[in-house]
Amino acid sequence: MALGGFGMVDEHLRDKRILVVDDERDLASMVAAILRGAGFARVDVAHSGEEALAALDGRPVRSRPANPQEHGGLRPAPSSRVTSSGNSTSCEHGASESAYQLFVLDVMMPGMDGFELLTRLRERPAYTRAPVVFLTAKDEPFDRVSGLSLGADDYIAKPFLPQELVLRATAVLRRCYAEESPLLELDACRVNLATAEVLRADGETALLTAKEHEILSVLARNAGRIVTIDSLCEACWGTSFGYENSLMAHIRRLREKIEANPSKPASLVTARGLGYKLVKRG
Amino acid sequence: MFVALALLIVMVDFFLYTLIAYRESNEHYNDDSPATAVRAVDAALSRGEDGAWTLSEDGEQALDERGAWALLVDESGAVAWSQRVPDEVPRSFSPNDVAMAAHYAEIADYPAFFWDRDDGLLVVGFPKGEYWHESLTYPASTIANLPLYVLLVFAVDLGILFVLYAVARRRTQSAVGPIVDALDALSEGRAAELNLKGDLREIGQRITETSGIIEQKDAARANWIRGVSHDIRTPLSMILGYADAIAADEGASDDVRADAQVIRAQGLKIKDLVTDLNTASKLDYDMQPLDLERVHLPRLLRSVVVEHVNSGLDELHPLELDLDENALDAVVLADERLIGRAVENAIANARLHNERGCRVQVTLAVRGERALVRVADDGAGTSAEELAELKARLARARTARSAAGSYGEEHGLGLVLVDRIVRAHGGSISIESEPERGFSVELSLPLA
Repeated sequence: MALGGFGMVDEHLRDKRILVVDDERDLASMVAAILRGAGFARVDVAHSGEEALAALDGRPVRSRPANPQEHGGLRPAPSSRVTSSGNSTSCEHGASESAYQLFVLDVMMPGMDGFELLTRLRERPAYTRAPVVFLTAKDEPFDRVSGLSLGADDYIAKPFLPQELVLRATAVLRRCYAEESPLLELDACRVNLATAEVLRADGETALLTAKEHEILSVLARNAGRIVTIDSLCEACWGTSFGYENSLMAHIRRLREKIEANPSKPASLVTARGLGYKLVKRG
Repeated sequence: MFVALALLIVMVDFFLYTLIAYRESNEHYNDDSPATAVRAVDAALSRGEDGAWTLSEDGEQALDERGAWALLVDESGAVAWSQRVPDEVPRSFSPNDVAMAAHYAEIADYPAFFWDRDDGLLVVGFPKGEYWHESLTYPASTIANLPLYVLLVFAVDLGILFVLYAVARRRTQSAVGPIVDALDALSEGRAAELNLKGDLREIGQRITETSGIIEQKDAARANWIRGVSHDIRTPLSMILGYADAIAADEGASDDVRADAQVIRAQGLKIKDLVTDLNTASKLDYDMQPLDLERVHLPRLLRSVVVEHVNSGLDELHPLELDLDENALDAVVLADERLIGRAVENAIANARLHNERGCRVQVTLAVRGERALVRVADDGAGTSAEELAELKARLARARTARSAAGSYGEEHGLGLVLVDRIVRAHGGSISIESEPERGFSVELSLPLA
């Protein structure tokens, strides 16, 4: 049995170091196994805030490479490359070789809780903007607000399904490390999101406008999932009110640039009444 | 009420007066009255042929019994006869003396009674201080008006009584008012604190104490529900995680994978239940200040539906969203999370009752001042009896104080919560169904 195969994790994200902190050892192991199963090669586990902070200082952490005996027969992750991509200019912080690039934190822990751990994290120059996802058994709005206002990037309410965990973690990583993978492979073209250039299969090229680029980036981060009209408008204009027609106009022009047949879109698909979905090639 | 009280007082007064008068007259005026003594003496006193006065034994006895004395004044004013007359009593009376004595009914401080005889005036004197006499003289008009005066006095009395009554009543009401308010608050599940003065102080303290106890129990229950739902989440995450992994494991046999899918599906039901319980508990205790904000319904519905579609878990229950042209800008004043929860519950209800699959359609329309969110499936539906029973159950749950308290009947909390949430927002729900023609829930919410 493998906790794996929940959506493919983009190649450039697989080497991101992830630290899972949860006082429930079994749950922490499971989360780590799920992430490894999804393709993340470097997942560490800590069982308390103190342990996590020690890990940041480079002191040994119970790094848990998948261990069949210990994890109920979980197979090691299929891609067990442990070498780092060596890209130290990632995201918003200068990540060193050993630095973590994503934290998955439990909120309720004895001693130092998740919020406090996040505050302590943010005090460190290397982690002022490191992406953080909370795992919370509480679903009180207050907790969400306080988690997000501290600078958490997302939260996942327990109980969750493995897919959800992988999708959220991947989405956060894609957002945070977008510039590492500027190339978007679509059915009828290849888009370089760093330069906003569209290289069409028919040999033509096109340039994306700022709004088109924004829309395509949001859709690319959530590739394979429907993004609501409202989320797109919020990403482009900061509000979801009154921009639906503009959005439609931008989508239409975007399709003209990236689709082989704009009236029969294969990449930028409409989910009727809901929003749009980007389908990547392959 | 007041009239009855006044009547009662008059009757009691009258009764007491009669009683006392009867008793007094019995005691003093029957055998024992001065008038009988005087009459006895009069009868006993006679003048013989020789002009000598004799008092028969009856007369003497009558005098002796009362320690009284007697004398007879003749026409000249001289005492013609006397018996046991004290020394200070004069032995002759001028017309003035007689008039004054008769006026004050006493002679030399002895209460005296007079009897007119052919041969003179009989005077019977009693021991000092035994009788009290007052002669009163009023103008005839005064006496004629007497009933009026009595009435007037009575009316004034009534007035005073009424004022007293009104004041007392008012004071009671002002004291009872807060108590009633406090009890109302308690029965509605709110806290009550009472600071009363005077006689009712203790009642106030007791109500405050009671409120405290109820509050503690409520809080304990809410905490308990929260605690349980919190503690279930972590193990449930793991059950779901591993069941999901087994269900997706290509190395496992089909049977095992099917079993794992059942575990996962049931786990998801527990997840819904836990969330419902938590929401119900929140509705019960934190509802009063609803977290109201302007909620753009199309946006909310899109995110609810997209979350389901994106989860990709449920291929048996495809979900569609249909927004009416006129509802694209529908905004309600609501607690976004709660309304989202209500719609999710309605969708979950459709899935729960159609395990073999059905299409679920979410529609939004605006009619008049109301936004109508409709969650309809094309599944098995339900019979008229079952529908009526469900409606009755919702009605019962409405009168129950606590949403969490209506847990335990047939189907968990799903639609009960939808109803509660919608009603807390000033809306209402209606359900419709026909066998084999699906089931629909319509949430009607007032537009902002």
